[in-house]
Formats: sequence, C-alpha cells, structure tokens
Amino acid sequence: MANKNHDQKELRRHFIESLYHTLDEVVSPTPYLEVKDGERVDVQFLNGRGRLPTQNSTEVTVLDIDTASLFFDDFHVLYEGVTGVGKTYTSDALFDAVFGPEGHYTLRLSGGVLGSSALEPFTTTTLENGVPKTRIDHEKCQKYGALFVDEINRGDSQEVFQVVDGKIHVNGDTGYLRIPISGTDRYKGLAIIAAMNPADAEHSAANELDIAGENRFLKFNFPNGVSEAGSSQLDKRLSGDIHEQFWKRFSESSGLTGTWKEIYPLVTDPESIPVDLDGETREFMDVAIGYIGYDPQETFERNKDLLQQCGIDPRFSVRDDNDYRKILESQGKLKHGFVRRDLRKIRDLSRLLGFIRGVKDKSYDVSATLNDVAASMGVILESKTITGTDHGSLMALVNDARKSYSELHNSEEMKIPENHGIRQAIWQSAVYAGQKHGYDAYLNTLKQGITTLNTQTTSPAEATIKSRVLADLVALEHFSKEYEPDIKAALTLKGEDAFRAFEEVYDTNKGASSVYEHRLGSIVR
Amino acid sequence: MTRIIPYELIKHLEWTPDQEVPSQPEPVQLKPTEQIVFSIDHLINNGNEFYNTNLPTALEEAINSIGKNGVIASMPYLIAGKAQADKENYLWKSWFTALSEENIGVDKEGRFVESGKPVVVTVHGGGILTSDRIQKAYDEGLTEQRAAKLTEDEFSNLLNGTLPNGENINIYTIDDVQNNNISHLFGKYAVVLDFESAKSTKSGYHQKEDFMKNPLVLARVGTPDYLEDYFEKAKHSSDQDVRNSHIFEEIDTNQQQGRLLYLGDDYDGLSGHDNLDNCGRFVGVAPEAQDA
Repeated sequence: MANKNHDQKELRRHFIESLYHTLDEVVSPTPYLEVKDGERVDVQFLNGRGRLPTQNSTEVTVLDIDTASLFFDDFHVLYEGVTGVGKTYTSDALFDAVFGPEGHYTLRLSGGVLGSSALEPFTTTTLENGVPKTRIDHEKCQKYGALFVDEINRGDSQEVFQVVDGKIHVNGDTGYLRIPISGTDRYKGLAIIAAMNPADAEHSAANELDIAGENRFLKFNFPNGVSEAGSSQLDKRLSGDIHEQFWKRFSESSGLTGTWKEIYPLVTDPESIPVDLDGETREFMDVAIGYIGYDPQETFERNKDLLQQCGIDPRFSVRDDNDYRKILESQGKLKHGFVRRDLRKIRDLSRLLGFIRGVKDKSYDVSATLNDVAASMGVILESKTITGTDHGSLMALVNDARKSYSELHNSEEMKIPENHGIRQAIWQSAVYAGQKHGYDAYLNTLKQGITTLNTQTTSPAEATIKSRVLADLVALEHFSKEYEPDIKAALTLKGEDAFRAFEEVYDTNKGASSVYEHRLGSIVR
Repeated sequence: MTRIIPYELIKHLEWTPDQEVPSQPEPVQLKPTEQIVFSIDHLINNGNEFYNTNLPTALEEAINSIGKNGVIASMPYLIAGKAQADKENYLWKSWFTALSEENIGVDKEGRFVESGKPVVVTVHGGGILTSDRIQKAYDEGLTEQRAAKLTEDEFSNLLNGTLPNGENINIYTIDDVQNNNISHLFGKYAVVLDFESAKSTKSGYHQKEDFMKNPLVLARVGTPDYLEDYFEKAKHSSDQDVRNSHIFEEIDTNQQQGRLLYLGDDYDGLSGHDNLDNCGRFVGVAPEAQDA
C-alpha cells in the first residue's frame, strides 16, 4: 500500500464518492434536515420528506450523517425512533460496505438479569476449574471497525459507556477498541452508531438515556421516510459483496490498494479533522447564547456589572421595549434554555454539518463556518421547543445574533480577519504592541479596543453581544493588571513565545477567579 | 495554543506611543422616562392654555407654569380630551399645538425599515424639540418647508429610543397602536412609521372609515380608542369629514427634520404641515389638577 504524503482531502473525496456510488443501489436516501445558507440561515426538519433543491440549500440525509460520523472519533451518532423506520438498515449497509460483514458488529442490548453485555464482542469466556471466566480478547478489540448498538437504553450503561469511550476494563485488564493508523503511532477509534426506541408507553423496556449517555452522543430523531420513498424502497436491497465493490471503486479512483484495516484508518484519521472550532465561530457561540437562550436584558446587566466593576459604563443598553418583549415571547416557546452540554452539542453538530456541506459542495472542506454554528444552534433550539410550536421565531433570533456579530466583526473600525474572534484579535494586537513598546502599549491597545467598541447600539442583539465582548476584554485588562510582572515578562519574549508565555500566565492564575476561566479561556487559547 | 494572527492583519488595532492614551468618554446617563399620569378629566376640567406668537416662548411659558410634575398635552391626550369633552369645553373652542413632534429621516441601520429608507418617528409628550432646541433651529435656519434641521446624531439616537437629554423612551409600531400595546398613552413615547406608507396617505379631508384606519392618523393619536368619538364631534356638518394633513411629498428625507403637530378646533383636524416658526398654543395641566 502506498501511504506516503496523501492529500487527506483527496482521500476523503475518493472514499465518499466511492461509498455513495456503491450504496446508491442499496440505500434509499432518508432526508433529515435542510439547511438554507446565505444572508440568513434556516434549518428545517424534513422528517423523511425531501424538498426540491434551491440555491444555497443543503439537504442532509441519514446516510450523510452516518458517513460523516466515521470521521469523528470524539463523538458518536445516536438515533431515536420507533421500531421499523429503518434505523438499523442504513448503518448496516454503510458498515457492510466499509468494513465487510466480519469487520463490524451489531450489538442488541436487552435489560434484565440475563441481558446481553456491551462487552460481549470484545471478550472471551472460558471455563477455568469449572468456573466461567470472562477475559478481554485483545485480538477482538482490534477486529472491528464499527459497532452498531441497538436499544442502547436497555443495557448496563456503565458497560456501554466503556465501549463508547473505546476503553474496556474486565477483571483488572484493559482493552482498547481501536485500529492502528499505518505509518503513524496513532489509532483510529471504533465507529459507533447507536439506536434506541423512545422511552414512552409503547416501549416499556426502554429508559431515558441519562446525561452521561447524552453527552457521549449526538442524538437525532430518526425520520420516517417510508411514505415518501414508497415503492422505490423495494428496489433497494443489500445484494452482492458491496464491501468488495466499494473498495474496488476506491482503489480504481484513488490508486491506493490495501485492506480496509490499512486504508480506512488512514482516510478517516482524526488528525485530519479539526477538533476545535476557530476563534470566530467559538466567539459567536460565546456571545450569541446569552441573547438567544437567555433573557438579553439579564445577560446585558450581568456584563454591565463586570464593566462597572472596572469603572466602565456601557454607552448602550437593552431597553424594555417592543423588540425586547418580542424576544421574550419567542423564548417562551423553549421548554428550557441552553445548558452546559448543549455547547458541546453545538460544536459537534457544527463540525458534522461543516463536513457534510463540504461533501455536498464537493469541496471536501471540513471546517465549520459561522453558518454551521448558527444552523446547529437552530437544531438544538428546535429540540427544546414545546411540542407543536413553530421554531421560526427562534431561528430569527439566531439570525439576528449572527447578523449583529458579523457586523461588529467586519465593521470598519474592527476589520477582524476571517476565522478569528474580535477579542482574540484585540488581545493579540495588544501583545504585538507590548512586544514593541512595552506593557503600557499593551494595556493601551486593550483600552483602545474597549473604547472603540463602547458605542451606541441599534438592536437588542447588538447590545447583548457587544456587552459580552466588552466585559470579556475588561476582564482581560483586569487580569493583565493583576499579574502585571508576569505579563511584562511575557512581553519581553520574541515572536510566538510571548503568546505562549501569556498562556502560561493564564493557566497558572486562572483559578483565582471563575470569571478568568469563563471569560478568558477562549481568548488566549 | 492559540492560533496566532499575522501582525499585518491586525496592526490597525494596535496602540502606538504617538497616539493619545485612550480614555473612556463620559458616559451618557441614560435614564428611563418618568411617566406622569393625569386623567382625561384633568385635561378637560383643569387644562390651561398657553398662547404666544412665538412658539418656543409659548412652550417655555407652559413648562414654567405647570412645573416639573405637570404635563403638556400631547396629540393623543388632546384627542382623548376632545372625544370626551362636550362641544362647549375650551378644547373645542380653539386650535392647539400638541407636544407631539413628527421627525423624519433615514433609518441607516435598518432598525425599522430596510436600511437606507426613510421613516417618520412621531414622538409624543416631548422629544427633541424643546423650546431651546426650537430656538436653536431658528438660529441655524429652518428647512425650506419650515421644519427644524436635526443632526444625524439626534435622529439616529432617536431611532435607538434615546432623547438628547439621555432619556430612554419606548418606540412602538403601528401594529402596537392598533393593538393598544402602548403602556402610557398620554406619556412620553414614539411611534415609527415607514415614510413611504405615511407619504401615500392622502393629505386632506377623510371620511370616517378612511380616517379611522389611516396609519398616519394612528401614529399621531397613539390609539384607535378615542378616534371615533373625536371624529363624530369634529366632522364637517355637511361633508362629514375631518382633515389629516402632511407635506411629505415636498420634503427631502436626506435632511433629517422635525416639526410639531397642531390640532384644529374642529374638522380641520390633525395638522402636520404647520411651520415651526408659527404661533404656539399649548395646553398644560398643573399637578394641582390631581388634587382637584
């Protein structure tokens, strides 16, 4: 196998194109979501019913989600849906094509004393002195590329989580569920897709997945596409050796040959997919949530409080007017606001959507954009609305936040470079100034940024967002004064060393106040 | 490790020693509007007229007379008063200047309409045009149509609900007016209306049905509630109509501007075309009225 200097983007392209081509005769697309991109972003759940494509619209199907998930090792996909809608079929077909029948395992969990164990595929039980003894089978731990866990909410959750985390413990031994990436000292994790019935009266054995479970998965409600696909579904069947067909196509197109265990980890190497969002998208998450998911006036007052602690009065406010009341009315459709784990979900879903968009527009880029984050917020918000309410006005809030943030980011005074946050750019320009002219120039650059931003606003979104950016910068100024000798020392260093030294000062002292941790982490990292 | 932004891309944010040390500007003390509540009966029974051939003088005299806890009647207050008062009442005997101003300018940020399009902001209960500001407008020169030339800041702050004295007022839409969403009808607030919609309304006499649903009339009176009673009392005895006038066809919206509204004694109705350097007749209600 040739494995030197592969262009990851090209490898992804060959892999996905070959896969979709192979599965075309096997899997009927089940539309899940449509994302409309452009000046405004909109998300619409399709529930199996596709729409005619329009410019800037991206239809996301279940196969897209399954395929993209192969490339992410730090989260997995979980489908919730009633029996018979096809939760297993698409994943089975995908796994068959990529890993072959022997390379993936379907684990159907069941409750009760005699229930099946999630560790079963990776262990061997032998009789020792007449007593059954279960041990980790290390060969089996590296045998499979993927696992489908059905009815995940019916098994022993501790065992399930060990499998999902890729590290199992049995009788003092530890097994790692992963495959080596050839030519490197890294490993590709086990791809896992899970499914569950809803925990309702019709599925009495199913339990709600607890928070620990929810944190490990990106959960989707599985759409029922049968009424839409109709009889076309009947023509789709698993026939022939799709594993062989797929890898033959891939080999012909890419020129790479080898077994799935050699090539798959290389193509889906997690190092080729950025783990974190860039500074701009992270900052958007930071500043938008206080407007979309919480009372903007409360968010503003909180930030104003921090500003005033440092002697700065904001020259704007979130007024109790008609616009504000409309925001609260829209938020009234939420069962509950954003919680901590939603941030992770927004991040992961943004990355997944970014990946899928790259596949759909054939760029095979994998980075998440501001619109991917906005769309992900819309998806997460949708899951929080009271059943039966329209989430359009909530999506409008997301768009208001996105517009206000972009205007601030791209304003004539700021002109922040793409992919970087406003706070990050002001801090870094301060460090550059400090390197050249000393500590006072560093502080004055921060102050200049604060002054430039502290101007009147025209909307509640702008006021809320600006208050957060300003409060964070003021917290940074405060931190810089508190640890003046260390910052001065950092600024004497050349080039990137100054930034690294600053990060060290931050890491050493962030524990002094939760405000430092919450407000500065996404600036200096 | 943070991603380092190349210096060239952010050097415009950098402070250099040849620049002044940045300092925070003095904050504008934004304050909520204090709404003074008087009843319609107070206006009918205890209102006093303040007339002067010089408009700012009339306004100043009214303010001095009623003190800080009194009110000068806005158009919504005058309309409600006329709707309830019998025709022998002083409110039906003369024309009045309302403490309601009609400001026009471009909504550059697209706060209420598409950015770059003009809007009409009707401020009731006192806004930009104080007696001093009117006098200043005289000194600086009025527009061709005899309105005060407002500064860009004055108008953009107004769109943000901020008056020059730092007061924060609520801005409502015509939907709010129609749905009676205004919390202090006779207090201080603004109603915003798309200029093109305002301009498209007829300047002249209206039959009742047209008058009642006219968006410019609604912006000027703040509620549909008293309109029918007012119309019935004010209408021309034979033509059965009441006037609502404007001069939007004539003005240049690129020059932000403002004028006060007038209310005719009967069917000459709501007037938005009177010169700012006109005579003034305000109605003031002193705080003693509340004890009467």
